[in-house]
Amino acid sequence: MSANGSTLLEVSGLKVELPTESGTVHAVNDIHFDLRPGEVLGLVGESGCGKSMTALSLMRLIPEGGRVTGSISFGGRDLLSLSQSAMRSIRGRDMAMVFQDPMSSLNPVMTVGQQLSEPLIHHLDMSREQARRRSIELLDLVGIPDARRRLDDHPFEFSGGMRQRVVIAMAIACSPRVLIADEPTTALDVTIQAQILELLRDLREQLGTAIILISHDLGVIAGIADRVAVMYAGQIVEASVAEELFDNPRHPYTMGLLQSVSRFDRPRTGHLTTIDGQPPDLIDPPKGCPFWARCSFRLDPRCEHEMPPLRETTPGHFVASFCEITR
Amino acid sequence: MNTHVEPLVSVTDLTMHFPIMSTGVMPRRIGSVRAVDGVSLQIHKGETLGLVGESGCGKSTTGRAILQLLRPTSGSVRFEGVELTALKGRSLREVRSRAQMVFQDPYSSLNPRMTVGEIIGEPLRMKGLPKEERTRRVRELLDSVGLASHHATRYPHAFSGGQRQRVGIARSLAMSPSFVVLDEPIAALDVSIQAQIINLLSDLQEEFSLTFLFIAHDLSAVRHMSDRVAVMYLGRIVEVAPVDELFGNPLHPYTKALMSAVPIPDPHIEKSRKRVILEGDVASAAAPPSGCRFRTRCPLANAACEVSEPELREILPSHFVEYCCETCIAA
Repeated sequence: MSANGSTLLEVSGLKVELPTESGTVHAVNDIHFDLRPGEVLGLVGESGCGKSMTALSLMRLIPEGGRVTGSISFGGRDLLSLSQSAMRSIRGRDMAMVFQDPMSSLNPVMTVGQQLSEPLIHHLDMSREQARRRSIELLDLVGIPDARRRLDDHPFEFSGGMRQRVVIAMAIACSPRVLIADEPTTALDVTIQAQILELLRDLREQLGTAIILISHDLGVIAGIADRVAVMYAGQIVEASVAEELFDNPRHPYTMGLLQSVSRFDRPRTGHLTTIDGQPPDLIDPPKGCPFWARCSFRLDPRCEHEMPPLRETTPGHFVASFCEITR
Repeated sequence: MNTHVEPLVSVTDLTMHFPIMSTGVMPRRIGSVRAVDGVSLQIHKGETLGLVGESGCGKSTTGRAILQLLRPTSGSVRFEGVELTALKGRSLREVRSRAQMVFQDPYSSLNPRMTVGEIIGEPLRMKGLPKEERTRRVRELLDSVGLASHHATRYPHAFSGGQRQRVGIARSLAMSPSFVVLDEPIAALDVSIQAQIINLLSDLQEEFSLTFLFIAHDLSAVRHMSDRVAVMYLGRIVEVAPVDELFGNPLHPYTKALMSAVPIPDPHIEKSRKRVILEGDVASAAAPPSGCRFRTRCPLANAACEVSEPELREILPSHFVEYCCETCIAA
């Protein structure tokens, strides 16, 4: 996906390699994408496709030993070449992240108010008193009732959905320009998920924060994303405006994925369409199209041996496939 | 549904309460978590009853209490005409070989030190089947769940999540059960693998004339798999109806909210959809609200709900709703 118009964040040639005992895992393999101000970019894919590693590399939070190459340009600077301390001043202030499990991002022995004040004092030089007032506003903003009193509660005193609201409040504390949400609703029940997605939609509306939302759930992505990138085996295999991607999927994997979910709003069918087999092993990724082994098209002799590049097939619609799927 | 035939499984007024103990040297019972609180349901031969609800609503506990993996606090469970709550030891084990369970997590429900062949053959070994026959039967079972016979000698760690779930399913079928409780069998799997397991379950149901209790939080999957669906909230069944009736004409406000919260993979629909977004969280099962248990989150709650004594009523043919008041349940 190349930039047109203003871009906030531009990722090019990003690779993430993680050494393990059994060999190097090529978790993310040469991906390109950009993020525009105020938009919601959905990153969708199944476990192990590299979507979380992509998010972590944007924040420079890849586990020790992992190798990240390529470039991540944000506000004219390449994040990958910044010093640790320069990165620390961006993390939490200009870019913030929300993880799947809210409890793992909260400190269980600190009150919610202390945790909310921390980034405000650290990044924005607020006094304790100012930070406290702002924290109350933030809790209000994310829909926590009785915010003034809840400020002195500890995370265990909140329910799962309320904890995720607290984490979101922390993430938006310094009004970041980019919010990365990695499966923010996966651990939550469906009625609570609806609340959190509504909150994210509101925040984008009110604050104009650009959001990268990572999810395995096509329904969640459809409900919030302006543009969508589909990842498979460490690569972006298709990317486009959301409506176009869901209306006219062109990569065999995207098509298979959309067909394999039973649609709530459509008549029931006998058998679901399945994608046979499993994703490839990323320690020894295939030379050709990563989806080749499971693909029911295989229309081009190059599929097996050559990696198809991500090409713009129609304006704004990018597909990495030799099989020209036009229906 | 023929009402003259006795259902394969008939549950009446099932309760499962867990004690809450005080801390200290002499722990006392200071309350109970009413995980399942007065559940009645029938499952007919050959059908799939879907049981949906959010975490903590008691759906898994109901499944376990039906199979007597947890002994219910009170109530009756009849299976193939036998009252299970009165049985124990050998006689319970004998009946239970015909009522099996598939668990959610294919990683923790398989013993990592046993080969797949041993795992699937374990119930047969317990029954005293000779080795050659066991090997033959394990091969058959592997074949029916879409695995190869050479998989029998491998250990669970060598399998993916979807394959492990196939092993769990094969094990549940070893004793040729008539009834299988599927407790979130696809929740831990990736989307493309979920569809494979769902199709497998439908095929097996037909091949072995199985009756399923399909427990899940995923409404789309439940709708796809089930003939009838029961919706649970805070230990009670709030609505039960044939699948197309329930999804086409939900009557309980909770069922309606649940359905409107399910994301649909279509941006056009999602962007124009009117949602019922519930406020707050599920109340505590240790101190459920008086009257209708859903009233603390119900958008229609009124004074009547606090004092009502909701009970399942057949409002339309075969469509039962926990009737609270006329404001909440408008047929």
